[in-house]
Amino acid sequence: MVSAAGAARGRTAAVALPPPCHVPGPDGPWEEIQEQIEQTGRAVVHTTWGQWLTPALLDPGLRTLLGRDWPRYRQHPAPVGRLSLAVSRVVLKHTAAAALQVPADRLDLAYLPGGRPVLRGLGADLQVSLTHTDELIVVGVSRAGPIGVDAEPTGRRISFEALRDLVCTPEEAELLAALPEKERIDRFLRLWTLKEAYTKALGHGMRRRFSAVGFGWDATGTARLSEDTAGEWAFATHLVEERFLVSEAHRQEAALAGPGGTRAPSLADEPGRLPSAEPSQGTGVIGFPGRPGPGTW
Amino acid sequence: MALTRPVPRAGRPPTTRIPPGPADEPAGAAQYAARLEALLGDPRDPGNPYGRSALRAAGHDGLPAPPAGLPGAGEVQPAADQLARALRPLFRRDLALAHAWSIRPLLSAPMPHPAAALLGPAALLASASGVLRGATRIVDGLSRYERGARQWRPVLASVFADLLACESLTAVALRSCPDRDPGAAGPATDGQGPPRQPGDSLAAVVGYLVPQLVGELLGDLELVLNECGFGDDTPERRSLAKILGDRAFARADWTAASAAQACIVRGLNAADGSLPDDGTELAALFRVTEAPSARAPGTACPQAVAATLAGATDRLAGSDDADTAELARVGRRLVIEQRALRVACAATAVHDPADPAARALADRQALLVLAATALGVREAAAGARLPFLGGAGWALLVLGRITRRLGLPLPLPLPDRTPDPQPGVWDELARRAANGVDCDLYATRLLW
Repeated sequence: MVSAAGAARGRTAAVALPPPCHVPGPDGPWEEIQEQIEQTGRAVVHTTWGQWLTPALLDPGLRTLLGRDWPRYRQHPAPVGRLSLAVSRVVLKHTAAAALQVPADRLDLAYLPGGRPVLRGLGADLQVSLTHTDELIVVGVSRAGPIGVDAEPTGRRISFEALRDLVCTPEEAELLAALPEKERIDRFLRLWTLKEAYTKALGHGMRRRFSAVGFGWDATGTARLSEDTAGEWAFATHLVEERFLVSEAHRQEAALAGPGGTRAPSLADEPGRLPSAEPSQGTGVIGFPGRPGPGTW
Repeated sequence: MALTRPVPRAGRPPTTRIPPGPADEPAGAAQYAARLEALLGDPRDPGNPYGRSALRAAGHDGLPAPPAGLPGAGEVQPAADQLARALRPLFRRDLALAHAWSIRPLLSAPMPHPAAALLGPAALLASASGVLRGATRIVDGLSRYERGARQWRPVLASVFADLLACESLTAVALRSCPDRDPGAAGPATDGQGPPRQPGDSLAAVVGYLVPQLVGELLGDLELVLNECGFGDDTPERRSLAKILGDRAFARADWTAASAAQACIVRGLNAADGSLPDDGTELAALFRVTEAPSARAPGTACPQAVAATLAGATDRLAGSDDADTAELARVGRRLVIEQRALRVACAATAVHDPADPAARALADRQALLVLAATALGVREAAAGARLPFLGGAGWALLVLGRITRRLGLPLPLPLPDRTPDPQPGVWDELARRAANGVDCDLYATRLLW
């Protein structure tokens, strides 16, 4: 469901998004997720499927937990893909359960015709996004507006020349082309994950032309969507496990009623209360020292 | 009761009332709608106070009063579905205006019209159909010299099919509403609130499903417009943004949808296996081109409507037409899902609207009701020899999408039969957009 919340009410400036939390297994710890939900309306979890594999497969409730994904899991042709599918869904359900403070087996994961994952029957009460690459699994959950996450290994070699017209606006391509090769590839990869995260949050995925989505950068190096004049969207890219880029896109809306009927405060409620600037273990904020001024790379 | 009322703070009631024919007959509703559309004037005229640019500029607090000469219905209280049909030009014009002139007055009257709660979703559907027609004209035009634009035809065909399914569901719910005398149908009560009307629970399915599905469809339309080069500052995108912003105003947003969902949850095990499954008692509700007939109170509960899937699917079997045969195969899959859902619902004595599992059951229930009404309306239209609405193509497209939403695998394609309903649905959509015909169940010709 698309939203016009920005058109309907005033907005505060986007606030920096805290980094993904590392959760090594179904037993948590989940406290930080709940804190982030309370403070920012959203949270992002990262883990590796190897860490969750044993508890996930030994869980006697795995079939219930996978629900309608159970046949896909059983019939997946590749062993690694099969396990990755199962573990990623288990991570998603436990993360959503932590955000809602309900048992994971009470949730039903469904997919819209375009492929977007949703929690059946929960609508805007909790929106989710999932990505996995290599052994990394990342799950984003939000009680306050749509969220999208995407991840890529930092070592992934991609051809800027081959992909620039597909991924970049002319302005972005021109700025990237002027950079030294190593820096160009790093920033190109970051840009790609940001656009993936943004279009996943919209529910459009790769149906939306990346070359028509323009990003700029403010003085702190934070990504800003060029067309987002209302400042609805917040973006962040973090380095996770020292070898993965994880990007998040979140459109901040008023938080919905939380567990027990209380309304979870949104960023807009507490503009001065920023999430912790300390990255969690294994996570670092992507920095670009010596960044030029706003609107440039 | 007039079909529309002046905005309370605008203060200027219609100065002339011209009684039309009886508004509880289809022809009466269509005539009323034609008069209303004429009085609202050309939506593209910048000098028209009811034009799109003036309404965008007016905001929620500066909406114009109804036009002089707006026809009323005298003391006649039309049947609910005819009320919605008569008001559709207003719904199509602007969601906020629809709310101010008709939905809010009908909701807040000392005796609210039984259909009032359904008018928000009906208005949302009407306004979305306007965006669909605009996007279709754009894609159709571009497709003639830009091959890449054709990729959006299946997307728009799917939007059209889903809108028709939502229109079918809403029409059936409206036809199940008591009319004229809200007390005559014998209001029921669950002891936890005001008396419930028989159509309430079906109205809850509409109130839950339509805002969500139309929200998704508007997202698809935004994607198509954007990819066709229509940015935020174009009239098409501004119209779409206004609909999105007005949804809460018209009680057709997620907040309203989740309240309706709670009603579905509370009724999940209201019926326990003694349901009609051949559609006999409900068949009249599906004949949307006819005036509604008398109906036994309570027959239109969601479980009863979903139970018509089995009979409707059985009647499709054995067809030589590829689309119809495939429709039967998909229908059988949904019948099995409906039986599984009844078992799951019966496993819990009292469903809690706060339980995510119960909310998931409600979602499945709502999707099956949507499928049943789409099949039922298609079958009735086939009997009435309505060529497109009675055809299998749009219903096959809808049921395939519902099956995927339910997480069920589609039947494996048969070796010599691989029907693809999208081109046929697209052709109908493109024809309607080019010829000024609404994307509604009745293929209403538009004045502007």
